[in-house]
Amino acid sequence: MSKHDRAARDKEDRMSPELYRELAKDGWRLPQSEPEVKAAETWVAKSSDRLPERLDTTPGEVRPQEPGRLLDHYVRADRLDRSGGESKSMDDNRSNRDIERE
Amino acid sequence: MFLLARFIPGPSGGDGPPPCHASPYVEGPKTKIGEHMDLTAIDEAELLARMALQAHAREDARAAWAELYERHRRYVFVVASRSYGSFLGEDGTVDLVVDTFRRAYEWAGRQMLPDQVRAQFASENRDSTRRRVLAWLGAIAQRLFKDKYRDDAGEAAEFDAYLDDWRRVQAQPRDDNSPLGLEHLQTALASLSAAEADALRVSLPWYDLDTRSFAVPKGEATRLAALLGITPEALRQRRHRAIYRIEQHLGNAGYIAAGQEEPA
Repeated sequence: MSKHDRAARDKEDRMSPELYRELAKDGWRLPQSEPEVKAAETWVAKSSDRLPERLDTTPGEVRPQEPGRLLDHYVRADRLDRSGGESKSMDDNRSNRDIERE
Repeated sequence: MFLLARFIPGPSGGDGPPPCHASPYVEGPKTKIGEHMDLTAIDEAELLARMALQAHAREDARAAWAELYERHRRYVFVVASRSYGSFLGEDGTVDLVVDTFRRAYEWAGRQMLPDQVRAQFASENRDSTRRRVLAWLGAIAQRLFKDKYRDDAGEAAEFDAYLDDWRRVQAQPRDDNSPLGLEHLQTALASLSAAEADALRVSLPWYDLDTRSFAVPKGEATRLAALLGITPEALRQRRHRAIYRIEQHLGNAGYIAAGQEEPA
């Protein structure tokens, strides 16, 4: 892409901040300032959207750590290592020692 | 001035926050709304202050969180549905709402100091306090939506990003000085094709107020385009046409100086 093309493309992607802010008032993006929220509250109050049942109770307990995700990470890394030539079997349930015994 | 952060690990240790888009939480015992003490008389700043005490008074913190959720789940769901519902579907939108409140609870516990929260909102009236907290929840939801399409999808935004969001929301204009007419804007928006509207709507979280332009990284643009079943170039062209049409309409109405070149 030439410098001219890139400059033209950057210009194409421009939009005024006023327009950006106004779009939030109409719900095109999530309102993130006091005037935007004030405008949104008006149409939210008139909205007939049905609240899904899943929102009837408060969300469950927050868990501070993710042992499952960490464990998944190490299991994946271990499998990658083994597939790199160290394992003598394609069967994850059979160790190298099992194979050597045969 | 907007200080709430203490920049030290929370009571759960130094682990980073779990990514919200990858089912990072377990479902624990659920609390039926209405089972807590009466918190209806206190404002959102006090609810945040109590949520910040979760390491020392967990039940009170959870009760405050439940009250915040009860008051504003409908607002967050309706605005999230309107912004992203066509891309996420109802289930995806509900996930976004739930993760937004979870992230708010977690962030309050790690980054907020109760007295600072109270001091920050001390001079606000109750409506203003509520709207600023809702604006913050909107910023969290937008961050979570963007996380779904990040180049390093699977890794959540760093907690510092949420701190930036908090500061940015608090720094937004407090008064409505917009020169635009919402009625004209709605007319202009109604003139867009569905394809143009989708391209603009899905791109808005990547608008950069500093550069006044869209900054969608290549990988994210590819994923957003795939969401709409088009190419990244088609996404860019449709977004460009949408902005051009809106600015032309508002320009003709005398509200804005059109900044876009006519699309080829």
